Amino acid sequence: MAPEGDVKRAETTCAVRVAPGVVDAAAELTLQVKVSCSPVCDLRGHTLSIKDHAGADVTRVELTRFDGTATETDEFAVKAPFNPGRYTWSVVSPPVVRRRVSCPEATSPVSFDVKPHTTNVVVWDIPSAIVVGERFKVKVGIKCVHECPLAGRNFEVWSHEATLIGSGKLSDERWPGTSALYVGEVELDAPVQEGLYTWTVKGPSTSEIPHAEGSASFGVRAVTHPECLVTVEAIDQVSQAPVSGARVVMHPYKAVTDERGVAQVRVAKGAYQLFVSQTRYLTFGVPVEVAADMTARAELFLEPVQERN
Amino acid sequence: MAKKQDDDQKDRSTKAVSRRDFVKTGAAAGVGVAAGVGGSALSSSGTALSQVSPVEAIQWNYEADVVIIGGGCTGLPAAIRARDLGATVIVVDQNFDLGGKMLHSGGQISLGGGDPLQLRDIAGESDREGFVTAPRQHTVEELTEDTDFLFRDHTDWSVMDAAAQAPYRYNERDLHRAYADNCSATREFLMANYVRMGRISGTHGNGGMSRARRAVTFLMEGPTTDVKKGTVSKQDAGIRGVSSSHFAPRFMEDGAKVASPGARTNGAALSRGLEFSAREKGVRFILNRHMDEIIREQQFSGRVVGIRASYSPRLDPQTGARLESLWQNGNVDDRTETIYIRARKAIVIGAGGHGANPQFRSMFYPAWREPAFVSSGWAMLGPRGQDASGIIAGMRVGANLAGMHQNLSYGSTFHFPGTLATRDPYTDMLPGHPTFPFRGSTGIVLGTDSFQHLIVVNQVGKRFFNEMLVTIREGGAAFPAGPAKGQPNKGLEHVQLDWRNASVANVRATYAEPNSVHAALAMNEGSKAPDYFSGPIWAIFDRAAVERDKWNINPPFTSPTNGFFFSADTIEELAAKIQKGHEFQRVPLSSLAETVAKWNSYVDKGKDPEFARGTDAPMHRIDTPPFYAASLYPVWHDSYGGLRINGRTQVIDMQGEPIPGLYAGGESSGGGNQHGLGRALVHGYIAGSNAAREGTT
Repeated sequence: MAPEGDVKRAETTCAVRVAPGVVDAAAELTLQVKVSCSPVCDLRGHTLSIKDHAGADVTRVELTRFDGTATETDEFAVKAPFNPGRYTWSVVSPPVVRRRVSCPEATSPVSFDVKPHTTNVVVWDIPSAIVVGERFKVKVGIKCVHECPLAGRNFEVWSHEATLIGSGKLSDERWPGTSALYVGEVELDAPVQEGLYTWTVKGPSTSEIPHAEGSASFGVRAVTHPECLVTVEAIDQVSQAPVSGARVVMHPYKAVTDERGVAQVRVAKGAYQLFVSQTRYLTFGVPVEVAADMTARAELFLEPVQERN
Repeated sequence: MAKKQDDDQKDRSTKAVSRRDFVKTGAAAGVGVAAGVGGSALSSSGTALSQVSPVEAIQWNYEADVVIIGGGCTGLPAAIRARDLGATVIVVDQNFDLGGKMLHSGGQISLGGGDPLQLRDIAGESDREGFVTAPRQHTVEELTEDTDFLFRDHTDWSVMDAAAQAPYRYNERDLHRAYADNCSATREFLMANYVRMGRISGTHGNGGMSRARRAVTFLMEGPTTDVKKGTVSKQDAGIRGVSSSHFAPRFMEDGAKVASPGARTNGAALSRGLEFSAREKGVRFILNRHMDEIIREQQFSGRVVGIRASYSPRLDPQTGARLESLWQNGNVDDRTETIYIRARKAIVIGAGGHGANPQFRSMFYPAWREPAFVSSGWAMLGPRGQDASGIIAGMRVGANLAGMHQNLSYGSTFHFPGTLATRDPYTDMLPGHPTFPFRGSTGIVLGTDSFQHLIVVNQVGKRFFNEMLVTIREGGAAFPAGPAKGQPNKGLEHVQLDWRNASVANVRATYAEPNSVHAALAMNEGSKAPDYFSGPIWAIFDRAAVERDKWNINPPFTSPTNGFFFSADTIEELAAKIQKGHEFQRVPLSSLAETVAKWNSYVDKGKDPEFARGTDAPMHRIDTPPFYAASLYPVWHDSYGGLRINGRTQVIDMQGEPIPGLYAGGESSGGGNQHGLGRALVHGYIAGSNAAREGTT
């Protein structure tokens, strides 16, 4: 046994928990450090240093909880580096003497990976049928999962043959009703041959904070010049009143009825399922064979309210 | 045993009474007694797992001739009937208000057998108050029958419904003989207790194939709500899509077609009428009180002598205030944790079914152990409503069970009501009813056709069924029969006990079970041992759908905080928000983005190779931000299977003998597959009659 008044030298070790193991650039990392001594020492109030890969101080944090065998910090957050890659930082427990026990400096590495921010891409307002060779517009929205401002960033549109066929710029303002979706519109040339094609939008890949390039595919339906005019009249079956605003669909062709309950759809010759649908009504559906201009009358029934009892 | 003051049967005061007024000598007994003989282990539903209350040690806090568990569709008629016959009656209910599911029901009552309403319509007469002016809905022949005919209808082995189930074959015969014999008396009894009913119109699910027997209850819209006069104010009747009231948790529908212009219909007209009458006649109510145990002289022998019940208040989630019943007269406000109530003559179990008890209902269908899904009335009845406690308490004193498979032979036992963005998709409480804060959102109510605008995915974000069919369900097999209900013949052409009804050819020709709910409950990549929960179901749609079909996605239809509705700028973000914000979303919706992309490709092609969408309605891309996810929960509606009862509604034990003094009815009982109110009302009427005539102990 050491004489009274002597200082006993302990062995000190650090253990670090880090989450997540893969973190987005400049996002928060959560750490928690536990320091153990042998013989056991209560190190509450002792302050640790967190140093980055270059040895620079990141933060200092106090040990606050002692469980009878080891002392630990609360969970604390630090900001991850901007640049993607593998990092190893260190946690340093400086030397300290407590109750005649000397705890030497201890260091523990903490490793994690930094990845670029994820961006997600949406494409909408795509015409369901585009006449070959004509120009059309689509809207493109891009959002960073950390809601980074993407105003003014460029995006590209690539064809099914991996050819760059258009580009656009995101707006300065967030799209109404969204938290951080930046939107741009791009005008494109339809394919020269009819068919269904899959094109791709690719989002920005660089910024002050690294962003991974997002992408989204969308379908482009190119059709030849539709030669037949189908006139559809939608009426309420009971009142015989016109139903305006009803959607007339003969895939891929679409139209909406006017205040007279009439819609005109120009389609190519062929067989279709003609749908007429409107809120609160049961959808009217009938197969039609279109060989020339034609008219159709759709009597719509109100959808019965489901009985609850 | 401490002697308690009786509930004086001469005292028919309608004034609210306190426990001090009601119990003279036992005012302090409650707390002490609870410490002495309580302390049993509780199950998740609060029901004692083992009997621990030795009769001789009990100090009763209250006594009455008849103690009724549950103030709903069985309990209220039983209470009134027993009181009419001179018994003193105490009703306990776990909820803060009376009515149970009946209060929220459609108020549709199928009886028959030549009941007074059938006779009234045959004669073309109005009701006694002259409210009913609508013409008769059926021919004389469609309304003409006797009790033998009704009995045959309710026990017809040959009937197969559109789901190829036999709803009448397994019904208990003695019980349905008594049912047929008491329908007329029950109809008369209802009319004598402030219940107004319109013209007979069809028959309710599984209420018989051969004749028209259903009438809906109504009140006339008037300047004030006055049950005696038969009026309900416009405010109390509710404003569609805007507000409901404490009087009627659900908007009361227009009853012009079956009653007269100005009539407002639903279960509030029935439930509040019965409640008003019961209070007027001096029935005592101990609300906020969950029955935990039925006490028998010995666990499996002797009479039942009383119950143990625990305090079960419901506190407003926003204010913390205790919810109170609409009417107070007759209430006993006792907040003691545990009380004992002695029944000198009988106990009637009308505690509802088991649809809200995942462990119990999983006996029938293991997939329904999923705790996310609730029973209809979840918000209105609270977490202990429909918890099977009446059945479990009966089993613990030796009761047998009956009709346990009959959950599977009614189309709405479990189904998708089609209401998005609420956990409680079957009920319709709007702001104005005290239980609205428990649901937080009324939900977005969609018709079947509106499902063309969305896709439905499981907990990992994968589609599992044709969305246009998800909410389709077959109604019960009832008049006017016909192929849509599984029968070869319609209306009066239907033939009772005809083998052709059950022929292979007929079943093949009429089978129409869509099975969507089963697909929803199936295991998926996120289901994990040992329970393999299927997890929540989500409707996914975009801003274009909201605008196209004119949905209101604002509060109170949705709630930004209750975890049943989410919006996001991208699909990936939507998936993350659901996982973070929904209590039962246990796994990531890892397939959601891929599913939406795949769906959009199907729309582009005009074909859905997975689930054959596009044949009955157009398909729409989901691509316009913001994107939305709204829960689409199935519901376990009414439940079948419960305590075996005989024609006197006595609970039967494992030896086939009645348990002395114990009665049951409605969804607490089994052996009857009839949907709706008629079954429970008749049970209550029979139980009240027989309970009051029991000898006093």
